[in-house]
Amino acid sequence: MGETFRQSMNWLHTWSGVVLGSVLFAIFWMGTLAVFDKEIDLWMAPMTRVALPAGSISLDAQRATYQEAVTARAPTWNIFLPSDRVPMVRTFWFGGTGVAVRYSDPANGANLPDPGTLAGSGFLYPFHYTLNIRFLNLGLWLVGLASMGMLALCVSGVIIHRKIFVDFFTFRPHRKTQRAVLDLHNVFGVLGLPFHIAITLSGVIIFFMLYFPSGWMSVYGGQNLRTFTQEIYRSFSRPRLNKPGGLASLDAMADIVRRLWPDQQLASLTVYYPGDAAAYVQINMSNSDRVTNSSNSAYFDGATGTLVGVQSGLLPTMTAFRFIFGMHVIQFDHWALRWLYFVLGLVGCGLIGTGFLFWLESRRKRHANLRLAGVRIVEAIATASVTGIIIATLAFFVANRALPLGVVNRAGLEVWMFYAVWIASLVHACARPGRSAWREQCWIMSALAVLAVLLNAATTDDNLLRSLAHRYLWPVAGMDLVLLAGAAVAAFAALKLGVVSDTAIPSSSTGEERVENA
Amino acid sequence: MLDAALLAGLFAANYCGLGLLASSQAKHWPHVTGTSLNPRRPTWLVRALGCGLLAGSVVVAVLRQGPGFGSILWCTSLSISAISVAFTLTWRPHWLRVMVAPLLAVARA
Repeated sequence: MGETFRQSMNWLHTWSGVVLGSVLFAIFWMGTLAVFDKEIDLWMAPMTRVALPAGSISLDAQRATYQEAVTARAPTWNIFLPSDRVPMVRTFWFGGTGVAVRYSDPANGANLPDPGTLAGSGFLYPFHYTLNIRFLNLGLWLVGLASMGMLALCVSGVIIHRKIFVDFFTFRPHRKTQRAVLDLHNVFGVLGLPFHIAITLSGVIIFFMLYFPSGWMSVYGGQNLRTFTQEIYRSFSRPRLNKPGGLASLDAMADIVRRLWPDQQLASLTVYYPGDAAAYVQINMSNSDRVTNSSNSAYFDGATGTLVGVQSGLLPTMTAFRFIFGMHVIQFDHWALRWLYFVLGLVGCGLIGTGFLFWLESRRKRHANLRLAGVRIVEAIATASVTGIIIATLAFFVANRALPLGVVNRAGLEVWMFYAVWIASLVHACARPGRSAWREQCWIMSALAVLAVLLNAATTDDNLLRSLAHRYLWPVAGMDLVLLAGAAVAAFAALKLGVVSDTAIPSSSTGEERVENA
Repeated sequence: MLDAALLAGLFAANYCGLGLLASSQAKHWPHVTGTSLNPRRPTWLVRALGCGLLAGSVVVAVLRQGPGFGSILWCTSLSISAISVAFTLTWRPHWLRVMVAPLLAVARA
């Protein structure tokens, strides 16, 4: 800590950044990818690259798996209808051996093969908010802690930036590395500040039931979560009767719903207690035309198809909450905003990466002179956290295209590849001194990104030219183009790092002198 | 098509607005105009137009896209426009002269 408030904030900013930087980079990187999770799904599961048919599809035609859910006494049986971003029909239920999922072509109802991958929405997206550590919700708590740290970093960063208005638009890449890196850190941090704060704060708010449980628990008690959620979402519910029951025509229910909300599209359907006499059906309308993540829903008696409830609109507090939720999870259809989120997510990654680099550059020479190991340790961790996780993600994509369909535990092997490569990047960063690890990992990134594009062309019919020519394959083309652009940026960075590595960098100031330098 | 044009207009207005605000700063004025720093430069005029463009873009964004999408679109495009202005000032500051030169002429008249 320092003698003045600004020095104390400088200490807080520096050390919380170093300690939380790795987790924060992982969260931001995966969050950035999650913006296009459905498009990544299409790229990683070529069998789901089907054209969206014109007009509505029959719900009753999707009932082939309903009996399986009845036999398994599944609590629910669900259908997600095709949309612009997810063109196939997804049916899933919780059976005796976990979640059972079926994909089908909406044009002809034909079953699609098992994709054999967790892809974007099954691995990358949950990694963003759980780090895929499920034990005791540890991942969620770590992400929450890191998010609170990010908010503290944003506020303390503004406080310690002495010339925030004078240097508002200032980036001087031709000055010495330490100065240039700090300029870039400031540009990404200050100019992206509204996004960084909004996205981080909304991420914490989304999990209010876990992070701030005292509010709802004080009213409902710790055991009444279901009652709480039913009341805040105004959802219909009734208990199971444990007597056999049938299921009326789903298309007839859909017709009623279309008359209720003629301007909206059907999004999903859930049958509660399949096969039970008390079974009821919930049909949700699409909410992709608004930020607020709230759907109109209709409830039907399963056996007779009688309308038993309608849910439209939320309480004011929940409307505010679902706006914040919708703003964060970006499930709406707005391509411009989707790309803006993606770019600003990369800006956030750049902010964290340059923060690491500034810490290293400001101490590199001093630690070398004093024979301290701090820079070497932090540099190895930072390299694995920044370029390492990107390489691991690219290896995940390459493994997806290289592993044949039908290999036992194919999805698990992809995940193993991700973690194995990530660990290998740390070993490499520990073994290689100074900036060599950064440079070499940038080359690996570039090579893997190009390899992923080539493998996609080789293992599917959808090479870049073909995917650009067909509207329904544009998500695949977009993925290929982003990979190629990333390869070019990584190669450029590797070349630049080679130039910097070959040049002696005079550096005497320390991180503690940041306030005076900034 | 109209939405794409509005989006391009929104970015252009934000970029130009922030470009004018940045140009008005003593630090960037000489690089943008190619002249030495003039204490009597028309700072108020440059800043007023810059703020006007930003205000205009938020009104268009909200009216066209609604308060939800419009406000998020404006805020996010503002950040990316600001970073674009910073990079323009780094590598091509004279590009912003196109916007400042007419204002200089107006101020002199």
